[in-house]
Amino acid sequence: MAVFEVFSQQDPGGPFVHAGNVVAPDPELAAQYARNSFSRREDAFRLWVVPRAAIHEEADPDLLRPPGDHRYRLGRYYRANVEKRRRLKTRFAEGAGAGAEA
Amino acid sequence: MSPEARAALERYIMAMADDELVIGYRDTEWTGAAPLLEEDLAFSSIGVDEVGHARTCYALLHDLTGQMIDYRARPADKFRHAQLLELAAAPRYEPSGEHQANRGWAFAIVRQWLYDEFDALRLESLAGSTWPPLAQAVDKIRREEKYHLLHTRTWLERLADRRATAPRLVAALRDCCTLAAGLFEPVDGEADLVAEGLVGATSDDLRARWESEIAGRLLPFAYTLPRIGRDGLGGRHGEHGPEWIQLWDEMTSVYRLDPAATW
Repeated sequence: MAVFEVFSQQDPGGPFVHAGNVVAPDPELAAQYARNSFSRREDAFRLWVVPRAAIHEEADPDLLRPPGDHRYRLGRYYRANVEKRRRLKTRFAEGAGAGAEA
Repeated sequence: MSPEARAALERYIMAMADDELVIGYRDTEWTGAAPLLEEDLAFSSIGVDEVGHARTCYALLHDLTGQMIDYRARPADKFRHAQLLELAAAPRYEPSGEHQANRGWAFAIVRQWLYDEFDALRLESLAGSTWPPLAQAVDKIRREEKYHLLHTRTWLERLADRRATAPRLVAALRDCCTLAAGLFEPVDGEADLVAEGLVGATSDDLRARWESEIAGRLLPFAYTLPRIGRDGLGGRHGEHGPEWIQLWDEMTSVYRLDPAATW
């Protein structure tokens, strides 16, 4: 007997979301059991069953949540620059307009 | 539809409905007793599917006769299911602490497999029925039956493949086949049903196809189909054993407390 993690896709092309798990002697029966527990009431489009042993976990906080300031790596850190550029563009457009008039 | 054929069709659908109701009820007795929790759910939900098919068939009888069928209000000897289906398989734990082992899991899963193979052939023979409501209902039922066959065939392979379980499989096959003839007991007037195209195959045809299907699926495991006995007959005429009386008593007990109650 092994634990199989069950992932369910609600719509074609959508993400597979972890739905729960089943205990079964083999993948074939695991899929049949998953169908009962995770698709009978809320229809799934597709199910995946994965032996838990096949999942490699990474949970080290030093790797996943580095203590240093990494904001500069995130897109939202640059929102101020985007705003600055918008303001400059407007000013340039106004300046250009004024130049044409002259 | 001739009056004779209509009467025979009523008997035919009643037998099919009762088959589904009775095996469905027996299957749901495995909730909490199957070999693993997941199987509790799988087998009970197969049972609930069968009860749903029974409801569909009782509704067809209403279309056919104009009369409502309330199974809870029918006396035990009016049921037309095959006797094989009424036998207790799940263990029973009485509040007193007494424990009745009954026939066990191998019997239950093998009976369900043999029944599903039979039911698939029966449904196939009804898919082209000249009575359209029957053909339409059968289409829906067949799609649900797909899971039943997939699941019971998987179990057959697992039981056959292991040295520890193979003897149980052999014993269950023998016990079920002894009574399997009851599934193929024709209702009165079957010839009229076939003549008018209401039903596509005789019980003898179904039995021949079923025997070859079962034998073919046992072949890879070097098993042969046990001899089909002459026991287990009479269900289609309302003859049943003591285990049916016990089950009927339980199934109808709440209803009989107050038959006039509104649910």
